[in-house]
Amino acid sequence: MTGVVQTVLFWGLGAVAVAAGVVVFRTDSMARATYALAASFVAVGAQVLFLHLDYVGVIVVLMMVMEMAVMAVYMVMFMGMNPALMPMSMVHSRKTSLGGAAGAFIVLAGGALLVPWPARRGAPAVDLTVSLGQATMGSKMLVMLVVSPVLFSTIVSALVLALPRSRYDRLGDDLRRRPAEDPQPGGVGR
Amino acid sequence: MAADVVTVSVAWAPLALLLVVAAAWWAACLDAVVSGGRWGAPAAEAARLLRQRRRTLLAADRLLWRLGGGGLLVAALLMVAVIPLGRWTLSDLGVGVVWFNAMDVLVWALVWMAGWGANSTHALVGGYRFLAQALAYELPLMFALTAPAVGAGSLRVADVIAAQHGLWFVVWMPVAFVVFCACVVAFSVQGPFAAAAAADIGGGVLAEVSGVDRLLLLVGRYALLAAGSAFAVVAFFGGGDGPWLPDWVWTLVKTFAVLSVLVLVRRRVPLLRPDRLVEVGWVLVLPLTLLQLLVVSVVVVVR
Amino acid sequence: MGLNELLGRWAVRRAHVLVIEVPGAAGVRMAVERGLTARSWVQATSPAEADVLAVCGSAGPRMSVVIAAVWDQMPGPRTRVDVVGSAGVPAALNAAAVALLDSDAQRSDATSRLGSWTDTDDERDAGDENDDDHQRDESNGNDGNDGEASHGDMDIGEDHGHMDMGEDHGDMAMDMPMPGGIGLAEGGQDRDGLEMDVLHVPLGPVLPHWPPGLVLTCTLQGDVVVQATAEIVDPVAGRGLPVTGDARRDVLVDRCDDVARLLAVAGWGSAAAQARQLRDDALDGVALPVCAAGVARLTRRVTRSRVLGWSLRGLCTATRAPGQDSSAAGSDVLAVELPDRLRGWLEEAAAAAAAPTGSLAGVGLTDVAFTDAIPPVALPQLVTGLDLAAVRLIVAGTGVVADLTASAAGARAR
Repeated sequence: MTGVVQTVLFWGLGAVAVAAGVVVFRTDSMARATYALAASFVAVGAQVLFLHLDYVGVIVVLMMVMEMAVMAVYMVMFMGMNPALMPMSMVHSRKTSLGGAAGAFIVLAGGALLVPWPARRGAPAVDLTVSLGQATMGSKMLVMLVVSPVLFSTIVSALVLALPRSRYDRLGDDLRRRPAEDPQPGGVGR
Repeated sequence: MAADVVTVSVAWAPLALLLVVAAAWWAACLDAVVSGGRWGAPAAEAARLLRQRRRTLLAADRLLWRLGGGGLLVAALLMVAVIPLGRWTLSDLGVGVVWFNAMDVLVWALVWMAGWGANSTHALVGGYRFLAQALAYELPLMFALTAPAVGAGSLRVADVIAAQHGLWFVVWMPVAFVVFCACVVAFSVQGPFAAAAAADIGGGVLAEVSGVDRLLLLVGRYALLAAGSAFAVVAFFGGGDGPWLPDWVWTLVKTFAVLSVLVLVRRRVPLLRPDRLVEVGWVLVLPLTLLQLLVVSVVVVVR
Repeated sequence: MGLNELLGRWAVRRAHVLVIEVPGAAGVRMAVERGLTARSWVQATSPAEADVLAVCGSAGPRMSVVIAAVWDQMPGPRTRVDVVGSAGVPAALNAAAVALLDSDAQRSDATSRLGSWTDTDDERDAGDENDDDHQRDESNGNDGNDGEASHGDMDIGEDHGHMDMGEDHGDMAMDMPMPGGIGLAEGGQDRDGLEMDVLHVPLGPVLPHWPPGLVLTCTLQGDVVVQATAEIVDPVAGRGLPVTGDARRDVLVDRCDDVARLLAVAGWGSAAAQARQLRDDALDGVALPVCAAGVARLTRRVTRSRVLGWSLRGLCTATRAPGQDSSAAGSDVLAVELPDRLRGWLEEAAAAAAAPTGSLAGVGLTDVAFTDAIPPVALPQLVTGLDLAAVRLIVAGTGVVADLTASAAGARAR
């Protein structure tokens, strides 16, 4: 693709991302808000593809679509009133959040425009994802690999602690009842 | 045969669409014959649906509904965009394997939208059944996709094909292959994984659609099956490898073979209930897939 | 136009038929199903999918209202046939095929349906029984009424919806513009302590593989049934099973039909088709030893399938809370798990096919029409707390017959 086409596409995707973000707050339906958010993220992921960061871009698309689908599950679980196509207000504490958003935008945009960026030395690496990874994580790669399962087990343990039904409810006071007493039995029969 | 892929222009995309629809057609015809019907059943069904009028419901979210129904075919086409036909591919993405994964995650959103948009209890239950089932199969699918990538040392589809020139991956990654095929059937809402469209909820996501919308949903399901089979060929059966015939012919032959096997096998298993499938997916299948991945990694390091 | 005719002729080769079984017309329904298999036509699972509406038997007053509502939901081209006796099935299906191809009739049918809906803020129904069949989202309590409408966008093929006004929502409902005039669903605590919407959904009387005339009005949270009431619409005495003159064949036909129903609801289409084929063979007069061999094959296939056992197990114990009074109606009916029930049916079918000529008493088979049946009042407590899939399986695993008292059911059931 030529440079002009690329530039136009890049800025177009940015406009789509911003517009979809606005739609999230203006639309009347939770489901549409969810997928407008997904569309916004997908546009950003596509923009990242233009930076030759293929892996990061595709992963952003993958993760965001999956998250929006999971959000649809939570939407039904936790929203007592589940309005579809009904006018509703998606914002809370208007003044504080407007102030915070405006402030954050000014700081970030100011930083992006006013900070003296260093001049490029040499050429970009052949595999940008690898070089990006090494630049951000570098010598701490082993830590990064271990962090992921640790985070996962933390989430699982937090859930187990937060659930109202403990294993004593499931397995009896002597933890001996088999199969466990669940309102919805699983498929393995644990 | 070891030549690298050639990227063709996007103008060839209609041919890709044609191939996907032809493979979907084949799958539908085979399905009809195996279930005791006639070869012409998909043609008759298509004619019937083209004649039938569309319908909508009160306060249905039509935008999401139609998007969900029509998007399945688009997702299948996007999947196929990174799969080379012999030496030609529409897109030589450096992360083709991840792209395929991203497109099958798109199916999550699409089937849910098809269920939600109809404003009908049965359709909604169907949509949520699909999400419950997807939570069960997605992680095993991701790890099953990682196995060929680790075996080839790259996420590029052409590299995965090139790494199989000595030995096809299906030989030493059988668990990943079986899990992958099962997940392909699952994201195409077919056979034992068709809880989202089951008769016990009046057809689920298919309960309220008629006419062209229904045709798009049905074609989309078979198209996803075809796209998944094509990727299975590329990831596990060496792509265009084979004697005498040119590589694109081999790719097509193998795709149709895998597709036929998937259609024939899935009728032998009754419907799997998503609420019970979740535990099986996480407690049984995921550890098995991780073990397979460990074996592959050890082999790659030792080699 | 040539293309239209061509499309029409192809389309009619594979029409989808929605079969509505009126209580007391089981034999007619079986004949219609045989007719469909013979023509390679397909049984529809919902009105949206159907071209032909086949009403088996003569519908009573309430059932007629239901059938009219279902007819209204079918998109064109559509036709309706009423089949009263098994002998009239081929002629009825032929007439249906002809009617589907009659473009002028279909066009006039289509133009007569051009109308749509509006909000009816002032319309409130007197609260008749809810005769809705298929899926409708409804708000708390109130029944809806079809409204005439002025919709600017005359999209051809729009169907009427049922509008409800949740009277509990009072002023809130009046202030906000409700989509389509449907009120919001109320929330309520569900079994996990989440506040989820409460939906009132009537299941039946028109659902695939569903007892004829049964309306199970469920209160759903998510897809879990928290409360239910059951009744039979226009009940009649007897099921109207086909009489072949040989008691063994009657039992064989009935059992194969039950097996086919349960297998179809369990989602095993090919095994259900096999069971239906066995039933049709028995009705056609195929020699009993051949039927016995077929039953043996089906039994082997079904019992060997561990996935089927896995899917069906554990539903019946879940319906009884610990310490529940075991003399409650219906509790002894479901003391037997569904896989065992299925196996029992197959064994009875095999015994019937293998029985020597004469009475069935020698082989211990019970009266055909009432085995496994429970009265509607016994159904709600069996299904409360289960999700929709489990509810469908339990209903498919038992028969629901109107003219049984609870004690009689207990005496007859296994």
